[in-house]
Amino acid sequence: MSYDAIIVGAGHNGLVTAARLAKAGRKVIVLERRSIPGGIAAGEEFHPGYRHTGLLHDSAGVRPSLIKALGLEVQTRPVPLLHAVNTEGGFELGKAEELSPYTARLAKIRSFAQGLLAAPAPRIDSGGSVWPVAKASMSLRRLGDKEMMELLRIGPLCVDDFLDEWLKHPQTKALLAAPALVGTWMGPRSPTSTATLLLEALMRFEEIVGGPAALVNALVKSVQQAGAEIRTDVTVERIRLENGKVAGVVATGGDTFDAPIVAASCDPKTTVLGLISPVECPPMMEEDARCIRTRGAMAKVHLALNGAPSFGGAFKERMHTAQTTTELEKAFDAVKFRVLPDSPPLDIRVPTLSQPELAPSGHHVLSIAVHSVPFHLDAGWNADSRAELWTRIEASLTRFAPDILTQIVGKEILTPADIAERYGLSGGHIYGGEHALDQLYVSRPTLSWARHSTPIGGLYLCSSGTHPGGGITGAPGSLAAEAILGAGA
Amino acid sequence: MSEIYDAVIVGGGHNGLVCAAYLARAGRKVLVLERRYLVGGAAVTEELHPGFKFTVCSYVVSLLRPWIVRDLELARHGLQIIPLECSFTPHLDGPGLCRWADPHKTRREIANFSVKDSEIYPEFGRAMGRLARFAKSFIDEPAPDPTSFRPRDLIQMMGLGQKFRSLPDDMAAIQLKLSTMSGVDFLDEWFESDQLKAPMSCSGIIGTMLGVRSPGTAYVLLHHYMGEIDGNSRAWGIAKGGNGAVSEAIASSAKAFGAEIRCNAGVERVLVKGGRAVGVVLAGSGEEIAARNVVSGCDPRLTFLGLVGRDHFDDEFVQQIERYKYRGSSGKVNLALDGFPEFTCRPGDGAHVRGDVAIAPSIDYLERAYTDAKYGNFSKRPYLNIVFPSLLDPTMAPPGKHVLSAFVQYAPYHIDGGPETWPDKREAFGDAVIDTIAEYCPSIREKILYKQVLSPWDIEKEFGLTEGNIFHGELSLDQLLFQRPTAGWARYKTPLKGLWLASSGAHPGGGVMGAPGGLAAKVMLEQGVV
Repeated sequence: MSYDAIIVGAGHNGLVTAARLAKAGRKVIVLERRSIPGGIAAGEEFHPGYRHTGLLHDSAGVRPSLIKALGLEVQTRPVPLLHAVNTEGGFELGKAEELSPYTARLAKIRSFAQGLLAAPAPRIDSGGSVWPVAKASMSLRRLGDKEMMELLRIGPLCVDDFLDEWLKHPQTKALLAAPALVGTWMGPRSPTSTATLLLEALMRFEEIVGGPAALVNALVKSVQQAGAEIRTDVTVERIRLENGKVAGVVATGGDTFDAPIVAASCDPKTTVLGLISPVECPPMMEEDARCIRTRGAMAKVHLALNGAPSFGGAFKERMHTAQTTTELEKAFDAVKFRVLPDSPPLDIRVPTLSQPELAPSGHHVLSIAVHSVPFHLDAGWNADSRAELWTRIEASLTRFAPDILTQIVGKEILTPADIAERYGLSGGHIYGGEHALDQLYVSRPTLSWARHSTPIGGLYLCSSGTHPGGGITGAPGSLAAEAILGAGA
Repeated sequence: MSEIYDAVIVGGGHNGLVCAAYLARAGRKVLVLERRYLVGGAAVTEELHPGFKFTVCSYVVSLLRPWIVRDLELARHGLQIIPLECSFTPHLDGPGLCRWADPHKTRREIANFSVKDSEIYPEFGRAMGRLARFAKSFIDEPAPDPTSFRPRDLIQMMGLGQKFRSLPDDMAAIQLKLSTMSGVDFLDEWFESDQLKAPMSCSGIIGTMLGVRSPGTAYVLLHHYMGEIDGNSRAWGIAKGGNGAVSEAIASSAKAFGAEIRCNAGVERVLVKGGRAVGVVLAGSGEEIAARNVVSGCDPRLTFLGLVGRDHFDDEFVQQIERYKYRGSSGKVNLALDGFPEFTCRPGDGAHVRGDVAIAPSIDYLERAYTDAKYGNFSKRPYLNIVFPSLLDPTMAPPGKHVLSAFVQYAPYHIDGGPETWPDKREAFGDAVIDTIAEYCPSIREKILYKQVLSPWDIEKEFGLTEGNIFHGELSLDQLLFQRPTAGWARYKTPLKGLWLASSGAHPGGGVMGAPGGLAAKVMLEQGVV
């Protein structure tokens, strides 16, 4: 079977690439190892009668322009305010008045950052043209001397220092810092975490009603309407090369698919080290791939509840248990020393508050991203460490919702090792590569192949592991499609 | 006010002296004022115990710029550097690890831990050496100014960009990684052995309140490959007579060029008239000294908010200086010893201890030391960098006796209870250091004749280094190059006319380099203000 392009993996980025290529008239097939499309954005039934809306539950990173370009049938709405959980009733983060100078600060660089991240990253080493670099630096200079210097100053700071300049309230600081650390291997006191804070905070739009799962459904529809095929339960074993160029893929069982273009929506490390035969892989490329850091530090818990729990008197769609940045830093210390954190910070989403149909009437689903849980655990991931992890999560939960344990009727715990296994993510890393200054923009995933193409002719990367990075955005998939179409393929 | 100087230099630290020497060499009338009884600032040698000379604060020489040594004829003025031949990391089990000046010996040592690493080590050295040459183009000229559209500045920026692009691609990638990664993450790409990576990663944390796993600490690894003595790359050494001898050589050169130096002459404040620095007032006597330019060899906060006063600057600048991070994190323990304390894992006083000795047995050990400090305590088991100057330079101690200089990290200035509680904790801190040494040299305790423990609080009080930061402010990405000490004021000039900053708080930063002082003098002469 011969195609113009094969997309390996039906993650949301793979689907975006497929839709864009198909809309441009290419004959495209998407091959997915699991039995459902969507990757970490896929909604699933985790307990009979209870569904979640994706391993990642945040969908505010999808640009309206992308929704429009692909004609996605989704509704969007303003992101519900984040509820800061504490034992005194908590508070809504967005309402804190002291926040306004801070948000005004971010607003000044928002359009610059969005512009930068919407375009392909320029090439800055010897091989590239000077013009894209000049263009990017001009857009930086257009901010004005003061803003430019300010950006250069704050980028390398740690979030703790940066937020200290703006805010006093410890929990407000913690809640603003927490998202900056997701998908990184950093604590709030790690320098450069302000850069990842900006990346996260400036790339937020309205969220998709129904969350990532709804996005996946719309994408699947868009892909199919454009004439592309999605095949599930097909595991790509390796990418077939001929004369050093892509010729197609070989699936388990020996099925072959031919195409001059393969776009991999699995993470770059897995793609290069797992799908390219070591004999055929250019040595430098293999070395570069080996150096991509993918140390996962997130576990996921899905709870089925027979009622509405009370978190310090509140029960809201978006809740977070972080209390102070020191607590976040201590949780990250555990990651560094390869042990479980005493009280892991919990990022809780309750999809059933807006979509009651995800659970039986009156029941609820809690989608909990458990942070600072290391993939690399000295004790290893086994039944004991999994039980211990749940004990720690229980402690974090019952600190604010003491009665919740009696309400649990079903649960699913995904350790970083489970995430690696289920979604095929190197190191269980949810972004397919850590967000870090040296793994973003011009060097995501590496300096020499950061523009979705690779040293192997016809092999493209379209996952979160490429520019502009992780989260449910579809942006890497879209830029990859542009790179493929731009190359005249 | 009897006579008007072209420049009066506040603080006779090595940078102040270098600046004075260059200005005097150009025929300017220069006066250096030093608060203490001797010149040198943090580069001093003092006989704290009869017969024992201590290189009290800074203790090694490597980055002292060769052009300064040449221009100021420091060798003629008595500067003599003794190269360090080895970097030794003792272990509690096994013989430890020595990295020698001789690459073949080093290779055999590393092979004890990893054959693969021993093979890669020379390649790593070559790559770093190459990048060190690139990095040197930054430290030997004033910081580039990305906001300027002046042709000269644009040419400088483009020249640096071109230099970057002309690096081979793999080198460009390494350079980028070095500037942002943590020391450990960076070394992980090359090596597998924890015992090798641990001591290598230490250079990135010196003087900072960061750990070996904190992003931004990889860059300083390069410093180890930037060292240069008599044109020999990569050589580190100690000055014969201690680091005070470096200061004395520079002072002697400055005097030979006609500069005046007054010790016991602390400056109370900078005189400002009509929005211009016009001289200084001495502490105690109240004597006023007039000058066309005032050059500060002190750190930025002390200079701007202490000596000048916030009223003379706009709010934004004051805020920037207040935000400038110090967070001193290191202390110093100096011991006079009644004999050499042997290391259990490698006995004797042979070549292995005639270099620096790093107590850095593992990455987790170093990270744990940092974790203690992060939450307001001194490290129970700190990272130590120990030198026995008396082994290399017999003039430092009586025959058969020795001096030990231990650089200690972490000792956070902002300790639990506040910095002013350091005097109560000093003893316990010193004990933690000696306990740590004793794990490797059990005989150390019985050999101690004299002990000096310097906490960052002591360093601030004694040497005038704000928050005890040995580099006049953290060498973090946001405080380097065109942002040192703050954006827009990174070229030695300050918002107050006639006031210049020529200290480690200016580009290219701390260490016994002399570059800030030398570059400041060059800029002043070029601009014709002096």
